Amino acid sequence: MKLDKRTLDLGLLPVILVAVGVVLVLITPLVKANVVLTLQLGTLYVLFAVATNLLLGQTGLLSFGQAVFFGVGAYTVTIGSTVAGWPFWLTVIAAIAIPGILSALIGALSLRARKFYFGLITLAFSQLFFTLSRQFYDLTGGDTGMFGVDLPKWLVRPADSFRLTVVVVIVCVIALWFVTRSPFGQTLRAIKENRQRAQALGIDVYRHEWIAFVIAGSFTGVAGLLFAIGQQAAYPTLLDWQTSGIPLFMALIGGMNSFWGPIVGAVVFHFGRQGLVTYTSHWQLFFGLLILVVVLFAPNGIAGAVESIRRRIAKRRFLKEKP
Amino acid sequence: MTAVATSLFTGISTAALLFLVGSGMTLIFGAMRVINVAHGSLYMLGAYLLYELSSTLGVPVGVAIPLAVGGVFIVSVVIERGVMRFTYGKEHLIQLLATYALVLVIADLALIIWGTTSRSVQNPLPGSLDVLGVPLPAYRMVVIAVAVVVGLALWLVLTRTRLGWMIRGSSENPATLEAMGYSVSKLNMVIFGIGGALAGLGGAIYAPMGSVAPGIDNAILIDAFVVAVVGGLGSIYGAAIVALLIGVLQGVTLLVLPELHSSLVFIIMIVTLAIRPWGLFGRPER
Amino acid sequence: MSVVEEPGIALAARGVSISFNGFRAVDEVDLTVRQGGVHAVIGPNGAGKSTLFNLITGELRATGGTVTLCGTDITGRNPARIARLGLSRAFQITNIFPNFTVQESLELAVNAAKRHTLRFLPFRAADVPDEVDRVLEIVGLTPHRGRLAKELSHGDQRALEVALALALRPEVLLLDEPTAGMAPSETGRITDLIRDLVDKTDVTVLFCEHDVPMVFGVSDYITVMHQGKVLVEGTPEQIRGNEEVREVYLGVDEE
Repeated sequence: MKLDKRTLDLGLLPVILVAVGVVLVLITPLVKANVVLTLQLGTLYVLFAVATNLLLGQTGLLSFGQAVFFGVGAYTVTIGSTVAGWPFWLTVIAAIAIPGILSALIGALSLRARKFYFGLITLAFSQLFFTLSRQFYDLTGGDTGMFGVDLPKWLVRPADSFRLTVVVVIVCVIALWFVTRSPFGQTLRAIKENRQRAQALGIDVYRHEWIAFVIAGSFTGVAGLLFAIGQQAAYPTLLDWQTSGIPLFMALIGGMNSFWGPIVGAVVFHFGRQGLVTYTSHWQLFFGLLILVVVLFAPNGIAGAVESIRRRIAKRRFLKEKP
Repeated sequence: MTAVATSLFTGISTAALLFLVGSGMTLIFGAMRVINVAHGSLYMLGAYLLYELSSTLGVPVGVAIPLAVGGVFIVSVVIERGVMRFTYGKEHLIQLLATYALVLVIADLALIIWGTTSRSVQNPLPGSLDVLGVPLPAYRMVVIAVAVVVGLALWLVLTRTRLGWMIRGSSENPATLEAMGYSVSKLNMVIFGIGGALAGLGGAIYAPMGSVAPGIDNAILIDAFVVAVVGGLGSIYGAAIVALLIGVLQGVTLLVLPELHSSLVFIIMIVTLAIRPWGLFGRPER
Repeated sequence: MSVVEEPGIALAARGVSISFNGFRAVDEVDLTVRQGGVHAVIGPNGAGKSTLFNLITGELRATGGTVTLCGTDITGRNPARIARLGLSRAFQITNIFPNFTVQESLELAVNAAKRHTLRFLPFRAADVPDEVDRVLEIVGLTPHRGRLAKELSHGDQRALEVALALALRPEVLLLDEPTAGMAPSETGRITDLIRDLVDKTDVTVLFCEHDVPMVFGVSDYITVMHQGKVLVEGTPEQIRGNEEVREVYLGVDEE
């Protein structure tokens, strides 16, 4: 077998991410505890959004059920460390493995449905798990959820869980970036551009979509795991369709057609919402209106706006150079 | 025996509500290929409007219901003109998120106007009628009757009137309809209005039976989805059958297999979408 | 029903049929494509050429008959499987990746051909760029490699369409009306391309066309279809002199 010559084509993104991560880790001691909690949440939302966008922006799959893996990741940690009494390392492994296995099963079933029926079936799964979590209160604490996670000593303070979150999220996002730049990532984009043509090129579309779904589900599970560690809670609404909608909003605001869009979208969404919440109890109203404006007038999000500005500048420059 | 009969009857009256809301959703999707996630919010609006009219303004329930429905019809038309119109032809995600944004807006407006406390509307027919030795709540009988009448009316309109013909034409081939001189744009407005009004009717009728509070929009939304999707998006007949099925099954499982009760609906939806995504009575293409 | 493996036959269809709501679009069609040659299928509009092609490549499922590719039965298989077995196609209505550049589109196709699509690390294999260059050269798209597919001229898009199919290094290349939408001055590009392909590589070309004169200049063998059936087959000389064929085409023209 021929050895491949390796040529990496990875751009600045990993560097920027690591730099941001280093800054965040360093400034942690300077920040108040409740602000750290908010930062922690925002950071894991970045992972949630990027993982979901692997399906939405990369492959063209609209999944309204990513909350299942998020919530299951969180619940695995809370259940594992309290009711089941597992050692911490086992809960972590389980919190990645269980969403992963679940995504393999749910994906295999859901991907048989085409286009928007796929969205509906994932939505049904989301609501199913939401309902189940409320039902089995012996295991899950029912409607109120579970609070309190048995964390090892080095993770107890918010600052510690935040630092862990930053490191894990950056590693995961870079991993997802690698996947996006790989032949597999290119294949996903091709499937999104023209599914039929991809088939005609010999690509097993179902299989590729399924793998993407499992990858997205697993990384979303990690985001849920981080949620449980940092916020030390898990509750039913983490599983419902409205939570599934959150990463979709983030991807839309930031721009789903680029990799970094969801990152920006997650930051804008989370901190925007936090800001609104502190100023008014009617944040839902303003938020809804904002989403409407973005959806109707700027559906390509921030990244899309940046791209069109860049193009306009390039065109102007080109026109200026003409005799 | 009485327990079974009462469960069944309750199930059928629930089915009546599900049919009203589900038929609105399936109508909108069938004719316009639009997913309206705010459908549950329109239901809630119908319930709150009825509360406002009957409990606050003292209008008798029989008069208040049509008024509430009219109100929701107007709101639906405004939504269609103001928001939905800009989403046609774009990706489904855009529609979904736009209507989801509306869910947030309407939910918050309801909170602002009516607050978080549960509201109740006086049941205008509180007694029960004796049917074959089983006491059945009178109001619920009216609910079933309304659903049947509305179902028949919808069927008549869709199959026997010009409007119905236009609606069916618009789902098959809007371009041809446009070429024949009909305004598809105005038609969309009417369809969305009627679909929303059906949800509003569901809410208004529900109000005297239960509590009107934040959260009922979400609760009914998923059920409406299931009815519309499993029945076949675009099929009123399918919505009726599935609503009945689900209503009865839910009533029965409450007695027999209570653990399955809440999850049943979603399992049915998942199985249907996996095996036969166009539902029981829908058409495979598109 | 087993098909006897004949050496030198790249693609064979036997008794292939499909009906839509009772209408027989393709009726008991037999087609034998010899290895290494250029085989054309012609016929007036509605003759069933594209439908036949869709049946062969698996986009449609036949209601009767079998199709074999180099002796392997491909009847009823899905398009991806058939493409991997060595039959690749270009579509009649340009079916490319609009937001990919020409370079990226071909890279994708080459990766697909080499089964690299499940590589999760962002490394580019050494032989991929060379392969991409080779295909770009054959179809004449090298100067346009950096342009977005949706911004190409129609003729260039048709060329890209063929390039995508070529990148799979197929045994049999199926071209569905390759000159569709092209001005007569541009069609020469396609005929030259087909001749080049067959001379320089050992690929077999099967194509269908509406533009009859172009077909005579480039084919080794022609099948004429009419109303879903095979009317007549033969070399270009035989077809050119055939009365029935002339009737079918003239008859349609006069309508």
